Amino acid sequence: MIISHINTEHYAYFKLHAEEVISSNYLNDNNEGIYIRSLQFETVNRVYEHIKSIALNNKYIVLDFEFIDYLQANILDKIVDVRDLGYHLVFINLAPSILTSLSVKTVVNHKNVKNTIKGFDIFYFFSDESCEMYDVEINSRKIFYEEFKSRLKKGNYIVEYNKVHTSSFVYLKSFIDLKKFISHETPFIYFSIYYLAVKLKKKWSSYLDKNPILVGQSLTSAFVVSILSKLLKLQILIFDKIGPITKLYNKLDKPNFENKNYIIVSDLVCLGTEVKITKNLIEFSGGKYLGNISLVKVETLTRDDMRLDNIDRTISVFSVSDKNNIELNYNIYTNLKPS
Amino acid sequence: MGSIILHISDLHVSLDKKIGGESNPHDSYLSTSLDKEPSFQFIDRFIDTIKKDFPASRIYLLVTGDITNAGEKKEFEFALEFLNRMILGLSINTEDILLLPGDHDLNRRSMEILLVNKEDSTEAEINICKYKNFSEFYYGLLHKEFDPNAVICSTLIVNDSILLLGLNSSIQINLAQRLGIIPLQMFEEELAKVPSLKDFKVIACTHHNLTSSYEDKNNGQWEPSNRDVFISKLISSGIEFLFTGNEHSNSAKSIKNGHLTASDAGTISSKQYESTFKVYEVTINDDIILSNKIYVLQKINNNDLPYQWDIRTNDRFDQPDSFTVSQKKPPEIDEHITEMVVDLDDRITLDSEVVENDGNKNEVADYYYDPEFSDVLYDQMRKINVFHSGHFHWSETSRAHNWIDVSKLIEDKETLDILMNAIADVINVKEIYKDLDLIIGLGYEGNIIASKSVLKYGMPYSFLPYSYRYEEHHKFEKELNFGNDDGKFQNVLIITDVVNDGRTIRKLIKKRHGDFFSNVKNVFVVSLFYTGQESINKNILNFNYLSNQPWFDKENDEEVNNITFYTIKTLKVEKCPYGKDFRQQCFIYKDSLSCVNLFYDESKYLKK
Repeated sequence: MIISHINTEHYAYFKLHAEEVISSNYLNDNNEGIYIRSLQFETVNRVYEHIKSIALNNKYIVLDFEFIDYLQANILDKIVDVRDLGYHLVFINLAPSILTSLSVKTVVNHKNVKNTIKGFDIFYFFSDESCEMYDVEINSRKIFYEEFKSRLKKGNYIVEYNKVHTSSFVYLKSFIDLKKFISHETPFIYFSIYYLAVKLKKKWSSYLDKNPILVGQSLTSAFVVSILSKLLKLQILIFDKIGPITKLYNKLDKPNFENKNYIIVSDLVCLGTEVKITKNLIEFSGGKYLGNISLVKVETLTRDDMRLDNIDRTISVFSVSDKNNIELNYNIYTNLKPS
Repeated sequence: MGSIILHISDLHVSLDKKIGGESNPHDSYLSTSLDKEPSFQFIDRFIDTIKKDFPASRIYLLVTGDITNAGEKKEFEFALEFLNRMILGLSINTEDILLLPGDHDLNRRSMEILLVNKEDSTEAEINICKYKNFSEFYYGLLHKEFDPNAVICSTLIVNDSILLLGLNSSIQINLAQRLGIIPLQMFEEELAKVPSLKDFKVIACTHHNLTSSYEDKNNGQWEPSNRDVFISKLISSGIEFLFTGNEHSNSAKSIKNGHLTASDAGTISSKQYESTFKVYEVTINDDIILSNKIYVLQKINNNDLPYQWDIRTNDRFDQPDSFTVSQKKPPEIDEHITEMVVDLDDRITLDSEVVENDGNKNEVADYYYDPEFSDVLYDQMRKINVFHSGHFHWSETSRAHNWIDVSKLIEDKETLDILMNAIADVINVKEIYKDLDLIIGLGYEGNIIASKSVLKYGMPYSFLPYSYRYEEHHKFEKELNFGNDDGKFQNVLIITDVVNDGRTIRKLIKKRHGDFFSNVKNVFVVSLFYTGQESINKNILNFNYLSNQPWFDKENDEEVNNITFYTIKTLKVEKCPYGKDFRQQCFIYKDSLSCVNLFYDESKYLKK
């Protein structure tokens, strides 16, 4: 199973670190989470076998080496095997430490220019004088965002709802069915959760130092928590706020929340009501709430709109905002008339 | 005239002096001392005890190895004299003796000499060499040849009903290998040649112990790579009992959730350890029952009454009073479940239950067990203290006095890894992944522990709430999100944390998602724990199987019969003894005497 394969208009994209994380944590039992920094031959071979087994529409393949600092021996041979299937290869995010292993000096292409840290942001593994790819922007964040949006739209995961939200007194026109998304968008959903883990590590590395506990607060988020726990090597807590488990905790063996840090995990944060309830329960019990992460969040107002401080307490891999809500057919109404 | 199987082991007849004349300190009461009287006295007191307690019994003698301490010729010469004295004193026919070699009966010195002279000696040559002294002793005692290259040394038929199958677990022991092994292919081939095997209830006999009671491990003194396959072979051959020696600790212990029971006689002659032997009185009527009598030697220090044996009760020794080798009628289950105190020190497994499938007792049980996961899971459960006693109600019909809080178990990162790996291991070992079309995680906990398997096997996945929590969930969370009108999903795996009688799973399959499952051919269910009362087997969640059980409530259940069930660990929990009238009958609930933990909203039932 290859989780990061995304077909764009011009090329097929693969993130090798994501594939290495799957090899390491799920196919083998190395349990290094997303902290693994070396790329193993087995992983590249899996990518090779995957490419070999399908017919790609594009002749260009982008291999993203972000977060890879070391390469196992003979990987270049396997990469050349991929090329020999008839594809032009483009590498992005090459760290200086892997350049020798990739024999970059053997490829003469004036378009390949080292960045400030002596690596390459983009490296064309071919020497063509002219190529359509030279003018194509390759941005891994954008690739992911566009793929997520495309899948949300294509799969009809945003369904008509028209439900009154009783705790926030608004009408939700539509609902994003992420449970269905998890079931139908396999294996892309695993890439999304990987992406969430990477984002959390990048943005909240100081929080991770505090050994936070990931809190699952719904059946759907429990699945996300399960994978995040493995990728980030964090403990979990099932905080079933609506159910009886919480009651039983109070009666039997109440967990000690004191001096512990918590990150609430959701599949979807719409108005944030459920997150707030869970946050209050954690804080009431003496725990410290660090923030909340979700696959999708709805940004009804941005932090700039609200003039809040710069501490971003919410992380997601996809946002519904004023920039895409019309395209996605997602709206929230109140009884009030717009002026 | 009754019959007994007299089970002795580990005599360790030892050299009084080393070769060269130096004194040889040893642990046995039986030695090669020129003054034979102490050894004779030891044998005679033993004879007296048996004759007194079983005056008119036919005695079948089982000796499970380590007759000598070093396999030396002189040791065997004395051993022959001691055993002949025992046989004569107890009037035992030599045809009624089954004697096995132990690892102390092979002569390492001669093996070394052989290998010095011929480094490339074959295994057969090594066996002939190492058992040379033993073979001579064997012939001298039993007047028949010992085959050093056979796994099945000999057999002994007891009362035309029981066949003691003597196995040489030291056959591959050499200068490097010290643990017991039964080469499986040889065993299968030789077993197939044992005449009329099916006419008897077979009890395997080995020197090496497959499990331990003294040592803190389950593997006994057995080569780990061979142990599991050998156990599986025994069980699949319908062999449910194993008599052993070697550990110098008298015991009886269940292996593989009670599908195999091992009885160890201990050592009969040890100054350091407790000297013990066993007598199995044979009772054959409709059933075949062997009493389990443990004899212990009084520790002496030049006392006036040396070498006195007395029988020990099994009450506090964790050994059964008897072994039911064969049972004509299946055990009956009481309709009324009596209250029991749950003690975590007492592993509540199905150790002593008889395997039974749809009433066919001889069908071989198919279940999962791997100590790496099954025992570790149990240990983690104890360590984290998630087994609770009290009154737990999951629904109007599902109530128990124990609860395993799996949500607490999965909070610990390392434990969660174990749980995920355990589930993936069941799928692998039972080859469920082959032709599998969909995995469903059931409940929060099932959803969490399923994730590794889903990614590992790259399967389509969905998750559903527990049946008793259905109403609490958002409608989107109750959707399976896959259709099956075209029968695309033939084989579906449900992963969950705890299964009791499986009612909620049958309800899910037939009622909640009946349209989808109507086109499913095989439903696999894998759980961390099974807390029900049936002997563990793969079909115990099926309606037809349960219909034969007296406690089963057919009316409130769904007819589903295509479930294959595996679990990591079996823990019997106590069900609520009351019926639908529990609100009136259970004074604890009625008078709020103690905490009743509700996992569901009972208000709508109260209104009714």
